[in-house]
Amino acid sequence: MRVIQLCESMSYGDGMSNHTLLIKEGLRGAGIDTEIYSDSIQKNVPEGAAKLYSDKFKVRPEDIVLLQFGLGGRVARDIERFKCRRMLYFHNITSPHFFTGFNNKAAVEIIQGYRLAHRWAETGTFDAVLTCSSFNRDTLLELGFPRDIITSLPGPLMLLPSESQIPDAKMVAKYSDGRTNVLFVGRISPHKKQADIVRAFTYYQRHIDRGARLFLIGGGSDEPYGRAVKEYIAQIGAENVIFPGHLTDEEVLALYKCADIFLCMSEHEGFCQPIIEAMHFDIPVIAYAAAAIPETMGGTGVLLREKDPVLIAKWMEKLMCDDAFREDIIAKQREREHFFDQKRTTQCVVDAIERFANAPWKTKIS
Amino acid sequence: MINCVARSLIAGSKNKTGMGKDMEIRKATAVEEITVELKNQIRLEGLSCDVPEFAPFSVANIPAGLTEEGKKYLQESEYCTSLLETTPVNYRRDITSHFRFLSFIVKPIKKLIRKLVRFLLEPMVEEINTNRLMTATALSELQACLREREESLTIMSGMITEIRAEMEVLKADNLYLKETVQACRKGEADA
Repeated sequence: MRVIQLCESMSYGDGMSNHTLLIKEGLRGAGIDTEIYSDSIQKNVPEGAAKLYSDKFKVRPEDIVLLQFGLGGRVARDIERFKCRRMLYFHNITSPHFFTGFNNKAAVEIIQGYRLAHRWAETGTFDAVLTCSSFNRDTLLELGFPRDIITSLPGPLMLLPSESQIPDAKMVAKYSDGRTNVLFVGRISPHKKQADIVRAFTYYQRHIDRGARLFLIGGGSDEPYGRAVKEYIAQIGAENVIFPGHLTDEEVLALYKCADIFLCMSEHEGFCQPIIEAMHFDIPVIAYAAAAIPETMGGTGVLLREKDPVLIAKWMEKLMCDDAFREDIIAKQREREHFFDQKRTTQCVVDAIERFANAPWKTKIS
Repeated sequence: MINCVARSLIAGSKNKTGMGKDMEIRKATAVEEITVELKNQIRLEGLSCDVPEFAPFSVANIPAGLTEEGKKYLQESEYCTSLLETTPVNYRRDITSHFRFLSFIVKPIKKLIRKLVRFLLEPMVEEINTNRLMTATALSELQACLREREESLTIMSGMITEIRAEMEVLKADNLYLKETVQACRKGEADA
């Protein structure tokens, strides 16, 4: 029995790619033969970590094919041809309406992804479905997947930086100058609402802290939404809004080390891994309560139910001025981060796959 | 009807015994309390946001050169996308009937209507929506392509004008040189 993981693309540092690699490690640790096949593999992926989907491979009826699904693509469309047991790991699909007008092509692809998932639910393509949040589970139920085949696990597998990794010294020296550093990490994309972050930050900068800086880390700043955000920044006269672009691991680490506040205004997340990364670096998180974010934060950090830039700015001021309160927030966040301990979450996934593998054919896992 | 009766029974029992689990006043968290305080502070100080909202699709921000038809497709694709987003969710609700004694008629009728919608109309609506979105994409790409061509033509036209001007200058120079050579030859001949 082998577990073959399928995904659309593998890229070093990408959340879904790390998650897939960690599952592979976990399965091999449990003595299960496993491999990853991806439609595209970036050069920065370690040698031998995954194979190209175009390389021919056969499956036997006792094998399990585990599809890592975030949008769709060739691998997802081919899934029904694999005559073996099939599992789906659902990472959620962004709602297409966010992209309309910015990237209509992406909106069409997303709609096609929804149609594909909907067809899978209708035809019972998968024998079991795993996901990482109740929000994702609810999305699956809305798509029509039966409740009894869905297992909601405590978070995706995440590769958080270890203590041994060294941040880029120059960057740390440059930005550890006493000025407030506000951070958000995530692809510059319409559903992540970087424009709303800019708006709240601009009010904070104008009226409370003139020297503050905002780092928007993530690719996509040259895409339509990214360009629109840059035009917006110019229009409202926001200063010190930095799009670092492509960064090395050490540079990302440096920015996390220098950050004072993590500000998230995203309106659609299946989990939001950067929030846990921020907690790992003891950065207080202010986030808008949407999608899976309240669940990810688990009552810690600062969760706001409205996007009032003045209120957000006041909260930022509170976190920067009230040390005792800030420490309390950070302490609670540390506890929350431990809930998503990598060993624990890996074991949960491996256990779920093993239970499914050992169950009789067509039996659902619990 | 059953749901209404059940709700009133549950409400009644809760009134007798005090707070039920769902009705218990949830203790406000520290964050919620502070949020209320901050909101009060904002209200007292009369603060309001002076940063304009992000409005990428205001009239001024629609891509330049997009025709009325293009704008119409853009707006329609937004509408169609939100329609598509809600459609797969809504029709999965359980079929209910408000009147229990009529449910043996109402439920099958609702099921039949739902099946008709699902199998006949939904694929057609999805196809139309997808086509509209693709048309909007194609239109905006065509617009971008035409703009690029226009820019290239403008540049080339400018270059042609410059070259013509240079040619005129060279012609004038050429004429002057010819006249000078003729004058020199005539001078030599006279000499």
